[in-house]
Amino acid sequence: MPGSEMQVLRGLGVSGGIAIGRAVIIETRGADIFRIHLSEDQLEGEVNRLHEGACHARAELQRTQAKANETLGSDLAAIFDAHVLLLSDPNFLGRVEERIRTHQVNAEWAVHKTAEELDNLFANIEDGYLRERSEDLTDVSRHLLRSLQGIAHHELSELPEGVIIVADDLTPSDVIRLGRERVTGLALESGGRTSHTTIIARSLNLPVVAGLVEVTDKLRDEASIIVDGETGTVVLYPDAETLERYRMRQAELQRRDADMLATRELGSVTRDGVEVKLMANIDLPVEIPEVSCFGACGVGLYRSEFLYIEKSPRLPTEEEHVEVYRQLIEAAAPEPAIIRTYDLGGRKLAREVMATEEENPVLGLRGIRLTLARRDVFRPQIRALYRAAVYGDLWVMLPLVSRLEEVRSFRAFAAEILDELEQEGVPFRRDVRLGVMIEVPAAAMIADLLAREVDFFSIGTNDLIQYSLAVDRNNEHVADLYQPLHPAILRMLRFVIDSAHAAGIEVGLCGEMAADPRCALLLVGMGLRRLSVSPRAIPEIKTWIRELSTTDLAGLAESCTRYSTAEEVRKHLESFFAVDVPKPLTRLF
Amino acid sequence: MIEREVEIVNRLGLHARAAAKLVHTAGGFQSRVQIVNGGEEIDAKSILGILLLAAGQGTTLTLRCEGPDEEEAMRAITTLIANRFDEES
Repeated sequence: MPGSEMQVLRGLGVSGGIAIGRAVIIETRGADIFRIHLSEDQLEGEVNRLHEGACHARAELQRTQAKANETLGSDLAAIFDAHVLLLSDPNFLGRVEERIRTHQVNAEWAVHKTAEELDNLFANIEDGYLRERSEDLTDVSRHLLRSLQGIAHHELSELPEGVIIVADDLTPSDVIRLGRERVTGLALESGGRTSHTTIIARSLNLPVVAGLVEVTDKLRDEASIIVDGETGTVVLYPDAETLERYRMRQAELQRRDADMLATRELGSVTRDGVEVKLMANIDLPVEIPEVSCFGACGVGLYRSEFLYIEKSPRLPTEEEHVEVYRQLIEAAAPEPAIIRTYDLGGRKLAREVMATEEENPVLGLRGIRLTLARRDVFRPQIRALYRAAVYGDLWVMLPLVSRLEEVRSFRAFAAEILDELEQEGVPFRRDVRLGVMIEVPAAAMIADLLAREVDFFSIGTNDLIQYSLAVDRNNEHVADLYQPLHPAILRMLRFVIDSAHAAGIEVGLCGEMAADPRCALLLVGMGLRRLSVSPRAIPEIKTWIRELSTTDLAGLAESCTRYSTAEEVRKHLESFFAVDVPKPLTRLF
Repeated sequence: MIEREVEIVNRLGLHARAAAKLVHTAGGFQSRVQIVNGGEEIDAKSILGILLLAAGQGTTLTLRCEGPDEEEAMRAITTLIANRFDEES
């Protein structure tokens, strides 16, 4: 039996925030499924029980779907479409029924074995998208089992207030049914950052720690428990001191959230009234709601290759691209959504598309080079970009440009596609802004030449720093040599920004460098008025921007150029913010 | 009984939502509607059967309708497939 000593467990913090409360333990996986042999005269009754169970489960699912529709919108609710359909499918229920009759077993066991058998059939499907449908089947079988076992769903929604669910696994529909009103947090054995369950928990703002080994065996119902989704920590049976510490931390986080909400409505404007546009970097379509949630000013970088990675091994279709771009444009409006064409290296694309293996892929056939080399592969994306542009302000950005010819070749390729769309009579937009990522040192050095032929620059510091300093930041032996404040980088940034200004084109920066508020302010001092960062970093940067004037920051940038090493620049930056910035700013971190 | 060959032309193939539309359409007729793919033969009124066919874009299927309204059923289903399940403009 589990004891009641304090225990600290480490898992994966997949949804932020802290919850403190009483545990309710739920076992969903394979629990209590027994094989019971039935006599022949019991079979008819068992089949009837199966159909009643299915009917009940279907009604529950339809209610869940309606609730999801209301609270989360139709996109997330569509997850349940297939579930309801499967529960009314005579083929599915027929298989279960047949198993009851031929094996003379109870309905639970028949459902369990049928699901297993179908799972194997789905596993053999080659098309990845169609194969994923087995996830729906698992969810449906579980509902059916629960309804057969009489674990009525309404019990879940009649929980006392403020409970924390401790479970081996929860389906997306479970989370919706539990709702935000009574449940304050989740501690799960299964799950990862990208599971549907996690995504829904995040959108409900529920703290979640996943990947906790055998957590359901470690405590009793109603045990006191803390779930810290920020650090991935779970404390069972916390003592008074720990409880107090977490209460304070919880209050702190609530203040942080309140601050965030407060800054969301504020303009990102310096003391002297200059607007600095803080835009959002987005990887996955599920992150799109974060644009407005953190008060971003448009989307500064959408890494479109993630759509490919998500759909792999097949390529996303033109329609899938259009749909995601439309969502991005709508989330970004009235500001632009800047979409970067696939930045895939040979290796990422190799298996499915390229059938090549490169010795040194970072310096190989990737980014714009691959786009131009494999137009057949990229055609659907480029068509989708110009088609989606009818929905609003979409800018197209090319990755890894190092030569002017690449811009010219792309324009020719795009012109071809525009003609194609025109002939087909498909709606599209011609006057789409075209820009380049400045991430190869060669591109930075010819920024003045590039500026004549493109509509905007976005400086990609992650790669620019790696390529310039010949440092792989993921290599632990040299990671400390990855220095965003290296004088070489600052000089390059200066040249790129000045070249853009001289040519009268837009220039922004996307890269983790800007997520550090001190670096962000230095960049504003160097003349940047568009920074694109992870949405979560925006509130803090905005708070700092509102405290300072561009004159101060220009002075800061100027003085930073006087130093000869990255370390000296860093020290200068730190002393500037330690002395010149009023204290409340440090509270956020 | 009538039989016709059809090609799946929508990009996603017979995925969940397309399968659902097919089930609803077929379910609206009295006739028995079957889909044959290679050696497999499934009932078009079952979403599970359709999903397990795993028919991606470009797959050719044989449609078989039998019953009092077989002509109408065949027409409705082939139109739905040719119209890409109304997914694409």
